[in-house]
Amino acid sequence: MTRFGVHSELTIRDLAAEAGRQSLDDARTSPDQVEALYLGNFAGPSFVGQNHLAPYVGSALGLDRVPCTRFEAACASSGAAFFHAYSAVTGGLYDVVLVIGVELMTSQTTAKTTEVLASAGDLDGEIKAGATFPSLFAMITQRHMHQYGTTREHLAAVAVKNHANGAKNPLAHLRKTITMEKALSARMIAEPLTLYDCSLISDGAAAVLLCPTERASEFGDKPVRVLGMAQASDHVALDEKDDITTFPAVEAATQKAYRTAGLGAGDIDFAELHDCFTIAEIIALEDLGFVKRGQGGPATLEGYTAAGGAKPINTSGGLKSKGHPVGATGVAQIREVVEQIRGNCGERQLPKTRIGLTENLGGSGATCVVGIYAA
Amino acid sequence: MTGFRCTGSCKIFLRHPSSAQCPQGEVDQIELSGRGTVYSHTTLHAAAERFEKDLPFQMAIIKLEEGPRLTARIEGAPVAIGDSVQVAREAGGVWFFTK
Repeated sequence: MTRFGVHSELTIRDLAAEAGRQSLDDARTSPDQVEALYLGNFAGPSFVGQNHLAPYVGSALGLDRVPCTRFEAACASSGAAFFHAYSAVTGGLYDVVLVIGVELMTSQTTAKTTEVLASAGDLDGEIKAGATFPSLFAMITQRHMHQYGTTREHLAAVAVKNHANGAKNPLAHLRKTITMEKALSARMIAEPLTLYDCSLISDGAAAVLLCPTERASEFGDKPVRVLGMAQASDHVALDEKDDITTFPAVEAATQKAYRTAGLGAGDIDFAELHDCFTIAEIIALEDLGFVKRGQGGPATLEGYTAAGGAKPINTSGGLKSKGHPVGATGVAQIREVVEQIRGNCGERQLPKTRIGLTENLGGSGATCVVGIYAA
Repeated sequence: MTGFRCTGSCKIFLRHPSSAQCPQGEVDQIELSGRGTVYSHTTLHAAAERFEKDLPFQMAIIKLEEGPRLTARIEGAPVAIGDSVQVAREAGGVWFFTK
């Protein structure tokens, strides 16, 4: 995984290839062993004007005559790329597959970036009316507050925790701690969400190599297994959902991943959850069954999800502090779980990392990819 | 304000329903009251480029009396969840509601 932040010195091709090379080195293998490239990228064509991105990156890596394909599923683009790569490997189509997620998005103004991101919503409805993703998640938050009594302090507690974690991650975009007061007094973006309820606009790339379990020993000493992996979909338009305080696609993908793994919420030691906005982490805790409906906020404020808590969430710093290069996020989440399980996380290493989970959300819940992993 | 009614299920839609939403495929166009209640809302202080001139503005998800929901802009006094609202005007396919 590359450092997340501003990479104005690199092209999107260089950025993706750097992560890909790191992953090949990590797996002690070479490009000629790779049978396919699955590339997750949300909006390369809009942000930097480049289409046909997967073979463009593949050729920079020296992948020769193999299928290279780009996957787009908004913020779940590289989660979706991983899900389809996993399906191809478990289905016997390939043995060795490289999955890369990449986004280069800091070169635009915030208003332009907001517009490109909004194209992951319903252009003929909510977006035409002026909605942005912060405003959609703000309406989700208002409703969660109304139904469950969630407060701005609950939201801020997510940001404070994730910044505390990210401060210990050398690859994070904003490596600084913040106080509750600072989060609460920050300028409003879409009421009640402040600047500190929103994830970062970042450049970055992340990669992982997938192979069948029986061949894992060829690619390093510390392979990590996928125990369960599922993807699900829902309405793109927020106003078409019956209840906007829950994400049915998250619940569906989670239940399928739990079933495949033969595990439940209580078996998960730690997780990387999609905190594009603070409310999204609170709802994910509820949709995953880590806490009861409506208890995501209070549980966070009480420290349940802190690095030293019962269920550590987003030790990487999450999208909030590590950063959110949209197309890179899904694989970056997997990378963090892999490094935690391997015991490579230094200052932020958790003591108990037997079973980890990732939850990658696209749009306002229209795509979700959930994975469960163990050594 | 006009909507569409699936003659099979009698369910009402703002946009022409897809075959999945109305499997029989028979759809009537109907007049809607333009009245509804606020399901959720927010006031934006940052927007996409083409809406920056409107900032700050309030938008809401409104549940119409006839059932369907839509995302609309609010004019006049700010609204809260549960408030009754009605259509004030339409511009460029965007509905503006007011208390």
